Amino acid sequence: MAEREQYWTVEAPQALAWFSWDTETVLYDERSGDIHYFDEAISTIFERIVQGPRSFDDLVIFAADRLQVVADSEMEAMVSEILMILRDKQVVTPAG
Amino acid sequence: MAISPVLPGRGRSGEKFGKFIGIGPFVFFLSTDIPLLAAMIETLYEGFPAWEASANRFADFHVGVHRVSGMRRIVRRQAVFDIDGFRPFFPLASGQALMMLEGGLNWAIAENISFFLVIHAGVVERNGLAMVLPAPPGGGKSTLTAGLVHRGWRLLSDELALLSLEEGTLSALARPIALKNESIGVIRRAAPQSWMTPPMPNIEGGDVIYLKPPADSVARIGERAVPAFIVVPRFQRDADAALLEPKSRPQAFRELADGTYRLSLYGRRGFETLAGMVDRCQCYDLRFSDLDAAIQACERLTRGALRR
Repeated sequence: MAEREQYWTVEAPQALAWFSWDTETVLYDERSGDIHYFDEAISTIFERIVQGPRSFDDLVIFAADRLQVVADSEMEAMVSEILMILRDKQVVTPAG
Repeated sequence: MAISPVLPGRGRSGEKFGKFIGIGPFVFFLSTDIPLLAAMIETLYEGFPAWEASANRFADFHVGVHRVSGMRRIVRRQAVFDIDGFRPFFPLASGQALMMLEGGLNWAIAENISFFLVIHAGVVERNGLAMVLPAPPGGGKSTLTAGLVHRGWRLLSDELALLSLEEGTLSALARPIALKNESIGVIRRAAPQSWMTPPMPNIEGGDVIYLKPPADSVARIGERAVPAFIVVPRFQRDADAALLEPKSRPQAFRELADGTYRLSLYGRRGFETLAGMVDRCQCYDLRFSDLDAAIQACERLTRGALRR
């Protein structure tokens, strides 16, 4: 579980290009040449972090609102898992 | 059906054919020492800009299909494709020379051109709106493309979509359409006035023929088109006559990206060009078991778009 006070930011915004369609996102990372496909849940977290550094709590509340679910421990676990996925792809990184 | 078992005469065996032919944005110098292939080139590429070998022209590619000399020729008549002096493929039977030439032209464009994204897809156009037909194997892309162009759609390409990296428009090749196996009979019935080569054995088994492109598509080969629809055809014998369903853009992008030659070489620009096209297009899956119904479904799409 990511720490609640931790902020997250996009690792190299200038290297990324993306299109968001419906609820999904297709993202190109110029550093690796990889194309990533994000489903609705991952797209929601990515879209929020692209707006600026966000805390874990902010992401949980935003995602719960967007996906119309309760911001409970299950939601926290999902956001935590998504952050790990995005970090592994070097799309987001802990801020500061 | 105007199938010609005896093609327009073209010289004696050993006499060499060579011409510069403008095929859309490219100029090829095509040569062969196989009279039947020369005759097929003359017929299938009738109306394309062409210049005699003596013309002092630049060609993007010098391409040829020639008889194999030496021992091989005694055992079995074979022909080999070459491009700018390089032979990328093994020889085939000389009866497959046209297939080798057409496949070689596809290879030349897909592997060597850098100012277009080259996508494995058919492209047709009507009323200024281009429809891109990406190609899952056995999806019926060529059958649908052939059916549409014989109902008044303009042929841009049966096999390779050329998407401009500068403008996002589609350029035309208007080359002959390859039809295989059951598709041959389907198009014979749908377009009895069209000219086809005699069947030749396909390297993957079965038969293949080449359908001459409509004269109007050849005459308008220089006109680019704006992509408006992406329709992924899928022939299913047990499907409804034709069922057109909206397709998600990420899925359409994924299928187009999989069918784009050397996409990674173009980096961010390639991604943005391809995704930009998907962004501007309406995307659909078209499952069909009946060509007529599939054509009507495509026509409804364009009528709807023009009304909007």
